[in-house]
Amino acid sequence: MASVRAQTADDAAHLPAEAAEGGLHIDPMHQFEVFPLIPIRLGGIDASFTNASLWMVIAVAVISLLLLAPAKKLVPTRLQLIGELAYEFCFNMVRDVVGENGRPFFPFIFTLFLFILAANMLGMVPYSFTVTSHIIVTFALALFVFIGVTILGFVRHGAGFLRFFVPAGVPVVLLPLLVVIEVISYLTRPISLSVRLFANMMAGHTMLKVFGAFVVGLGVLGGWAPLAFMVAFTGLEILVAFLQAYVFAVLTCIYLNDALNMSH
Amino acid sequence: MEAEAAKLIGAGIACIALGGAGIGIGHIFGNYLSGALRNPAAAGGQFANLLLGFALAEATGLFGLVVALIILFVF
Amino acid sequence: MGDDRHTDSSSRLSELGRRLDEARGAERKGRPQGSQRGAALGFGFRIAVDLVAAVIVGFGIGYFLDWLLGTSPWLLLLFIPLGVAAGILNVIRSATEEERRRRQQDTPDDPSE
Repeated sequence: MASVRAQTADDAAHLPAEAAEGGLHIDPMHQFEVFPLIPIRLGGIDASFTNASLWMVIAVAVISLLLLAPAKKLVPTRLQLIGELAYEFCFNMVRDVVGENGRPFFPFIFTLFLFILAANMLGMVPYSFTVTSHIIVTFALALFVFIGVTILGFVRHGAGFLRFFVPAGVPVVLLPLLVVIEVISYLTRPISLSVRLFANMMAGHTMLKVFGAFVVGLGVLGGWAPLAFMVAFTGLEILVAFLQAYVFAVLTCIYLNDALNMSH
Repeated sequence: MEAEAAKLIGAGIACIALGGAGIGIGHIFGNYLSGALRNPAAAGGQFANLLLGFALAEATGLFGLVVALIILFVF
Repeated sequence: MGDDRHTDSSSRLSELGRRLDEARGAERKGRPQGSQRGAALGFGFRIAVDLVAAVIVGFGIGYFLDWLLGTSPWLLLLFIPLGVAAGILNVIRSATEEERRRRQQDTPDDPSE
């Protein structure tokens, strides 16, 4: 499915671009193509090990290398220091947003944050594949968080969790309408979580690819301008990679806080 | 012109309304910012009016989006 | 992080504390403006996507219920404005909370907070 979409987008991107510069091929969509590396079929389901799976494994490997650094000295080495900074950053975030109730969920949030951060950052490596630039990946993560937090709310508060959708101090006449609006705004959470990360990553990498093509297409004489922009934009993309991972983790903490402490 | 093509063109034209929404929102936030830079202490008090203005400007633009969606999916 | 040997002398611990503060301070001095601007950028994009997502969800629910119950287009017409309202409500709530949090940050020495 992804390759078919990429092909039609390729055709659409080729036509105006080839008319512009002689031989300039702007092909921003090809980098998002998912292809199987080790085809595996599990009874009708295509469970192949794709390039997306490969880069997810690499992300997990990078995180493990960072956190399982062998030298656990009391005075930390630089690698261990990075791990400790990440740990403390995430721990403070969980404690500030969720409070003490959120302590059991810190490993989950930490894992989520580090995975998205590693996946985003690995996408900045040239010729790599950005795992989070596919809506299905981000939607899977967001759905996991959303369903988990909702179940958690029901487990913690029972049926009283439904009181979350009834805002206080509202005239009874408006209540049905407001409850429906509250439910809709609650249901937007997984969509906004996933679309935010996906749109940022996909737009960023598409822009990088397009301006990279400009640099090559304009040649030695004219290529300096897009190159300067590329340098600045790559810096921005690294910031966005970190920021989007942070925003995802913070919003997960906020939703967790809503479910656990029902502060609404 | 066949109905399908007319639908798509109509939906596209209806989305021009969102340009007005963008201008309105930019206008109100810009005015809020210039007022807040001149008188920071009073800025917090007007925050509610800022949100009200934003909501109304956005709603007007989103009416156009609603019309576009209706044209696409109902007819 | 799992290292519980409190038998170390206090001087080594204070040395560790000093080195950690140094490292942390160096990192924070590196981009004080960057992280603030980054946080604002993140917040802005957050609420923009919230609004769009709410409209999409309202449209999705309306379309799905229409398809299920066959009452096109009335449920769609009902749920799109509800989605718009939910999105605007989300934005207002996020913005108010952000304003309150920023106000608290600006006056941290307020004993009544």
